[in-house]
Amino acid sequence: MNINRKKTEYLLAIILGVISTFVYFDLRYAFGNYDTPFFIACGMYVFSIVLLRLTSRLTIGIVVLLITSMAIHYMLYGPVRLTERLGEWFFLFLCIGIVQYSFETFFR
Amino acid sequence: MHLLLIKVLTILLMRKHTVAILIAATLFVVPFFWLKPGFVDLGGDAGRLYFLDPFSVTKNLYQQQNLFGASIFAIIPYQLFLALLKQIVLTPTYLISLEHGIQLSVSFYSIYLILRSISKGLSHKKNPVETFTAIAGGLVYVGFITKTGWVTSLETFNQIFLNPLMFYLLLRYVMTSNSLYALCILGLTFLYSQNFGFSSMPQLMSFYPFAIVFLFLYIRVILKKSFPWKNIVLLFMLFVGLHAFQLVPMIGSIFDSKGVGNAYIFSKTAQTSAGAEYFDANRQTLGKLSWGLFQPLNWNGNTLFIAVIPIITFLGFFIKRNTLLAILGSFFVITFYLVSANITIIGVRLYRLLFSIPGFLMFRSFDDKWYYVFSFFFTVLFAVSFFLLLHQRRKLVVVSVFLLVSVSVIFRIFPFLQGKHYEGDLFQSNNVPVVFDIDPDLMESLSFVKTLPDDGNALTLPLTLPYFQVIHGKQSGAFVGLSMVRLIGGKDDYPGFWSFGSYQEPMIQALRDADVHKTLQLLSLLNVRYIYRNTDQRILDKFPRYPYYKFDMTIDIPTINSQSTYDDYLRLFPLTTLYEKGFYRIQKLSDTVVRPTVYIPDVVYASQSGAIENMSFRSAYVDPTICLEMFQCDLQQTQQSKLSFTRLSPVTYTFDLDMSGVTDPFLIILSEDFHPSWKLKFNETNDQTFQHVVGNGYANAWVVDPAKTQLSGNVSGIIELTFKRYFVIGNIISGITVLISMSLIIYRIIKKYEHKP
Repeated sequence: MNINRKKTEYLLAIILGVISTFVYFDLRYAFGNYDTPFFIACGMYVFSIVLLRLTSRLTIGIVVLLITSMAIHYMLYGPVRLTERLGEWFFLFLCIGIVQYSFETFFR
Repeated sequence: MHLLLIKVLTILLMRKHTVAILIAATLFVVPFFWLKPGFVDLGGDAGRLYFLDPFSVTKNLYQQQNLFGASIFAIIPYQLFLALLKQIVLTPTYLISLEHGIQLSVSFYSIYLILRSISKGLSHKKNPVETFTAIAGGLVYVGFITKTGWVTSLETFNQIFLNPLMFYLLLRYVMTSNSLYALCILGLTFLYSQNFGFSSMPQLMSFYPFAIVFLFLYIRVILKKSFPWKNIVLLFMLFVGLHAFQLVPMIGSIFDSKGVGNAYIFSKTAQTSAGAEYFDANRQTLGKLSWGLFQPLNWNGNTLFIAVIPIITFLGFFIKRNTLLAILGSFFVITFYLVSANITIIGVRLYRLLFSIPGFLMFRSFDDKWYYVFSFFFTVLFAVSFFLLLHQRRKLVVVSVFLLVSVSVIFRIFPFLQGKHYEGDLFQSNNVPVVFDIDPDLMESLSFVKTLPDDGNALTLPLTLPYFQVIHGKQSGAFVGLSMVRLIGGKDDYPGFWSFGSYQEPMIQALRDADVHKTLQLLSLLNVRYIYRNTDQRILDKFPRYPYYKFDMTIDIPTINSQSTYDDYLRLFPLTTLYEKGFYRIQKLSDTVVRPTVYIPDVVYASQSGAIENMSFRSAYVDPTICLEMFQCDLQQTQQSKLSFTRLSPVTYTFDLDMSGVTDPFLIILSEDFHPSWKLKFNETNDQTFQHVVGNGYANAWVVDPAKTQLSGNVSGIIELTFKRYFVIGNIISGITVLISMSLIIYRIIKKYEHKP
């Protein structure tokens, strides 16, 4: 699939924006204590990896961002629901990142 | 100034192992400042009494060649090792400090050596960052292991240093195939057998499968060498042979329907109630992802330092693609999922499904059982990432990041290094410290217990719930743990309500009603002859709830509320004082109210109440069907045989029986917990098929019918627990393996000598 750089960046910004919105509302407890936001956001992200050929660096960047937010939140509030929810997001993105990184290491 | 500091640090770190050895030595010394001389921490669920008197505990344990012994027999070599060390360090205080020193320093140094070995595979040329990486990794691991378990730790706690040490030796063994490493592995596993036995199965099964898979991938994928499967299989066979002394009885107990292991592995009820339900109950409170990522949180956990190690761990993925990092990342993800156990609803459901696998029940305390495996892979991932991040950076950057990591760890664990973890109080006590100083009178009373004949059990007072003994220190602190009377004194005892088994409710009722006859009958049926009493008022005053019956019983038992009410009640018993000093008193019940360990009942009842309410202290009760079918049920037996016995060991009794004029069936009772492998044999007959039934609700009883057996006059026999054969077989196999190993060493030395010019 040939998509030029500008279009790619545009699409990526949209997808990341949508995912960030999902994460934000999920952390605000808008979807309750369900897995649905995880499925939708991670599904979209995996789709964008395939579509836009994103590298593991972006995913690991998200992982580092999430763990930093988690650490700050833990420091301020302890192991509350939001800290743990951030942890779940961290774990899911880490899984994606490790799979991506392994794929890049072993098959490229 | 900064440059000078960097130069000094670099020179020091470049010197091979110097700094690492210095840090390890410091970590070894630190625990010697934790406990004041004469003070110890011995309580807890596992019973660390082997620090107090390792030789006596070992001797008593060795005699327990039964189902109970099968699960804990593995600790014997370690206890003997401690007994040897105690000859050098002399006091339990220093013995405990020495153990903690080994745990801390060997943990650090093993991780250091692992990382030194692994980092060689990351870079083709020698890089000074290797040393920084290894030391930083060692410190990070030390930080992780400060989490919990240092006070009144379980005997399995040695995993914190054995995991990295064994991994290092395995790594060296698979890399070099040098049999010296194999011998070190075997020697260590033997010395710390309890970490490779039944009670350590969760620790064992959580770490070693991951470690072996990682080693395989490391050798095959990273080093691109062949994996020495033959060597590993040979090592495993020698391991099994060496550990046969504890593995054979353990396997025997697993396949024994009465064994605890059997229920844990095969029982459907255990899998659901003790497994999945227990997991569900703990998951909400203990399944915290943040606790796994930001350890150690006990100490200064509310600073930004908690983010340093996790962030560095993942920054390495940015630098360049590295196979080892990819593999370690996968191990991190899997172990993180297992230790946190609370990731998404689907993840939790999947986790719960794992409990349907036989044996997975052992991981129900997931936060503890997987923690040290997770810590290990977290540390190695951190170190590899640290190396990749810094190996091409300037020295200033390397030293700065190294100092940041070191300071973040040391700052956080500084209270631990100061021994703050010993400052806690005992659960639900009135501020009673967990460390205590040993009362010399206590040790003297236990020495007296050791001299008591093997003719009955002991009742340890005051009674607790479930079965812990409380001993106050001479000055401060207290011991709350397994009974010293049993473990050090070597006398089977009843220290708490749970230990009464099916007699718990009748005993509570008898004590509530202050019914002396009923209490004496119950004690007699339980073969209690001695009363070990701690008259210290502090152990009741300072523990208003736990571990006494007020802890979770709603009833009031006035007879055992205070030492004075105990005095009043016991005054009504036919007791003779054998020993009294300080707070400790040992009394003996009159022979008239004590049933012998092996006896022939004068009346056989069909119910417990019949035996308890009757005046006879030689009666017994069995299942109503057997009672009605075989005996003159609930009536005085018209013919009475006379029996005398000798206790050769807890699993072997011999007896002489006078059956003159006896033609009716009679019962022989052995007041040991019922087990089908208890066998009664007469020397005079080959027909050994006696009906073996449960007597007195818990004991072994054999129905002997003289008409069937053709026995008469004076006969003799033996009662033994045939389960002990597993111990005999195991000991023989272990002995043969030691001989084979010794022969291999001698052969290797001779071969080496022959090859020398």
